[in-house]
Amino acid sequence: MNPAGTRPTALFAFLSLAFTAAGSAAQEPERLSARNANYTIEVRLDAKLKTLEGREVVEWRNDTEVPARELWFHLYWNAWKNDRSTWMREAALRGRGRRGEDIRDEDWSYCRIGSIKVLPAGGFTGAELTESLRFVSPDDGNPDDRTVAVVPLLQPVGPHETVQVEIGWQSKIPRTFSRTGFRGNFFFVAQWFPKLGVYQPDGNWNCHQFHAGTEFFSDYGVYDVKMTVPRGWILGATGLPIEVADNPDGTATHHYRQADVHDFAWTTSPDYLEAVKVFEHPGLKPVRMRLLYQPEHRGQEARHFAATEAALRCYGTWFGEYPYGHITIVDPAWGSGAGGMEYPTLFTCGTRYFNPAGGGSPEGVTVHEAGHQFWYAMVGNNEFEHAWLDEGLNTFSTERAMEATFGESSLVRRFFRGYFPVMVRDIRLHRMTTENGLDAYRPAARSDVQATPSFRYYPATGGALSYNKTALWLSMMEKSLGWDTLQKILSTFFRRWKFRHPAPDDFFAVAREVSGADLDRFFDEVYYKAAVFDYAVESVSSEEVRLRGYTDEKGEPVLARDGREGGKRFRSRVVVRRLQDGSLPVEVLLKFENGEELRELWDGLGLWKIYEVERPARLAYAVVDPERKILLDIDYTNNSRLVNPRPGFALSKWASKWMFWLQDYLNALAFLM
Amino acid sequence: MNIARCFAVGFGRVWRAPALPGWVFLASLAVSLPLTAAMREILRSSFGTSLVQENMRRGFDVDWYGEFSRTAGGLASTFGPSVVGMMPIAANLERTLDGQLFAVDWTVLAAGIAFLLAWAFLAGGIILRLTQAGRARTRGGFFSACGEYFFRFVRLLALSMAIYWALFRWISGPLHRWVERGTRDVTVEFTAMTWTMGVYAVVGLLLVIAGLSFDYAKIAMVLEERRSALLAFVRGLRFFLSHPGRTLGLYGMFLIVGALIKGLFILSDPGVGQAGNAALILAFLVGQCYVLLCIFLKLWSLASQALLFQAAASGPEAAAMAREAPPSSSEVAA
Repeated sequence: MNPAGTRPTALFAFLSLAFTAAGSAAQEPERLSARNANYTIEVRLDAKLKTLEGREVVEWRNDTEVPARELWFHLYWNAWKNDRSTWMREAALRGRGRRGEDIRDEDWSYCRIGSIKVLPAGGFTGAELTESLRFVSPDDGNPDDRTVAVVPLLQPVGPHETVQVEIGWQSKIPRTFSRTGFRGNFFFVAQWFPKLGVYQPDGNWNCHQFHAGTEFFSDYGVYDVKMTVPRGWILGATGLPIEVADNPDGTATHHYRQADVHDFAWTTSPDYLEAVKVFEHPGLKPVRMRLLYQPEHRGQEARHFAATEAALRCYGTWFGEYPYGHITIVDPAWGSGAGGMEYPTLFTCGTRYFNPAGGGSPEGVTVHEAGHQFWYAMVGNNEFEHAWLDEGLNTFSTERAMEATFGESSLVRRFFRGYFPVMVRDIRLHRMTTENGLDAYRPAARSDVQATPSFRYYPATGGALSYNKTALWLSMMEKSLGWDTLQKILSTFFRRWKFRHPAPDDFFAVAREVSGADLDRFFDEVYYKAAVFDYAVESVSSEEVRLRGYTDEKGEPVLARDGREGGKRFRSRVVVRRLQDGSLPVEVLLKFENGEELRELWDGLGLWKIYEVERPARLAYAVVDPERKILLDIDYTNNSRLVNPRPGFALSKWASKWMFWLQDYLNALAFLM
Repeated sequence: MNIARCFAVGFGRVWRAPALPGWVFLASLAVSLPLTAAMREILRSSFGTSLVQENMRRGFDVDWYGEFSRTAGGLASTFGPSVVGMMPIAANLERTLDGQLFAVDWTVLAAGIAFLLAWAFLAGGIILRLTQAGRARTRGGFFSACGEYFFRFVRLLALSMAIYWALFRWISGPLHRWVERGTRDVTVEFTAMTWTMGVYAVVGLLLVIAGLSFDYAKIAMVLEERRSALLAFVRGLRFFLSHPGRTLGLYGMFLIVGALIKGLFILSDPGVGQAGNAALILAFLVGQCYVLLCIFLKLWSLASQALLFQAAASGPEAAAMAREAPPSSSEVAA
């Protein structure tokens, strides 16, 4: 760590490059992924005009058994070419993000391919393909969308053959949309180059249009990238620097390289400060952490490092090792909208000028995005179609790591346009409910089936379904199967699928295999249906048993005198209900005044069940799902009912606090009088 | 009479007339208690029979609140963590500076209007009692004065609403939008925050000027027997403009006292953890003391402003009158 937090000195630059050379030399021999999509890119940033001029050579190997007659490319920045793109239309439907009136002419972007040609190599004849380039819209047929380009090949790429394609392109950098773009002299450049889709064994390209609610999917490879930016600007990128060369025109070219990743992002700004720390933990590979942070966040370096270390340590010991040996943490410029996003070996977090310790920020976002190095960067699922596989697993893992490292966060509310936080230390947020996003899931519970391809989710509910619902049902698995079993499931899934592209069934198969449990009903309810869970105790009663009529005494029928047979007995009756369609087995607890407990397992199939028992003590209360294993239950308040409720104290307490708020409001009003 | 003396004498006048803040406090209770009872019932219907009540007894159950807020509408929607600790103060200050005091549920708004009307009713008697004690010394005299000036103050209240609305509509809103546009390329939060706080400062200053003008307008209405709300406001504004240093200086002293009261409350904030009756009562009393102190401060500022007004408006004779000792508390029936 660089405690002074200054820009890198010559010595630091030397050490950095020395580390780099050793790092890249060490990592190249060990092939972690298929490396079938490799990019060599040179790009120049015009910081004044906000443009990129780039040239790339894509080396692609067809790893299927089916010849490829076309190449499909993502041109993500065309999503903000105009307001007719699918991304913009979906964003308008979602009612989120930047609205039309906020967007100025300078904000739009584009990515224009100027030339594309097959290079004469590996048995291929050189061929100019620029004229044959066309745009397609495989998801919605939107003729105005320009985010997917197709180029037919004159010579098909046969199974296991490798083709090299050279592309020249120009881009206008957007004012930040979807966490990529510029603000002032801050640039965060992601999804910025023409990028191949993923060729599938069925002979089709998986190359979706850019959607407002989902992210990306691509093959693993080696990225060798040279970025030319104004001299003296700090640059951070996926991978490690090979060299930095000053150019006569006042620019500098930064050369970075990274193998076994499926994306490459970079950022530059003259304002960044830099700090470095090495993460070390027994049994895990050391990781050099490089933090690029804003000058106004001086003093928060340790919090960023602690959170990144929490992710590397927890995920590393729970799921598997982080293999790259380096990671770049980017604290983006204020207002840039680039925060909270993951890229291989680099991620953006985000903090504020005032951020009280214990409020979960910036730790939460930092752990989450660092955690994506495991779920997304290494386990490379298709985020267009199954976003929950990375976002959901990662949300669950984040909250677990946060709790294990920092404990529960306290409630924070921000005032005066968000600049001033107020934290209530004694209101704690619980991992499995609040932090997993139960409040966000609740209104979206019925909105869509999780198994629906993510990019087709009902507008604005993808977050709740992909992030929160998954985290909640993983927590349900943790409660039911135990952490040890769930940890084995996740680590097995990680081990089997790192540097590959798993699908949902792959996860379910691992879960079944490792747990040995029949999870079909569970996954059916939580994944293949939009089932809503709401169990309730509808009524409770407990009355002393009194016999009316005759009883046998010495063989003779005798009228019962005091109505009692033997000691006092109480008959208690509890009615539990399933109020929604979600149905899983659930435990019902009957707690008696003498401390005795009766636990019954209800299969949850019927709409109701009545429990009637006789005990020597009165029933105190009944709870359906006492351990709160069904975390998707949208109303847990109705899960319990007291026979003799005495809420007076709690009511008085909270009503009086509310009254104080009201009186203070009245005093504020009186200011106007 | 200098402002320090106005400040000190004003305190003495309110201190010796404890019934005055008492009436306002009673009005606050009268308006708040019915709604508090309604809120209590809302909470009872939500968690009254559930084990959640035990969590709410010990602290604040955020999981319950997530469920509650999802379906809460109307009065229920005003309940939340924002009633805890210093959050009410921060939230209400934010509402004031953002012009959102009326953007609340209609039941709370109705209570607020009722409280403002109560203020409008009591203001005449209070000012008369604090300035010309002879006319409002008895309870009958006090309420007679209240009734006498009520409709004048209602008109003044209506005028104040219009002026505050215009201030937020045409000054605060455009200024904030101007800052947003101006900081579009700013990458430093502190810079944007400084500009935004600058807007808040300007809006706050305008609110203070408007508030001072209305305070002196009220005083002028009583002391100069003015009937026109508009002319009284003009009189108040002219008074402020002709004595900006003294009026703002005096106001600044009350601002400091107000900040001290808020600071004291925040330091003594009992939080959410009261689980016993004694702690609950103590927490309630701390809150009520804060409310009462704020009311006392408001009256104190009125008394001091009235002294300043009398001294500045009428010259040395009036100043001498103002120095006359007010009646002792035993004489105060109001």
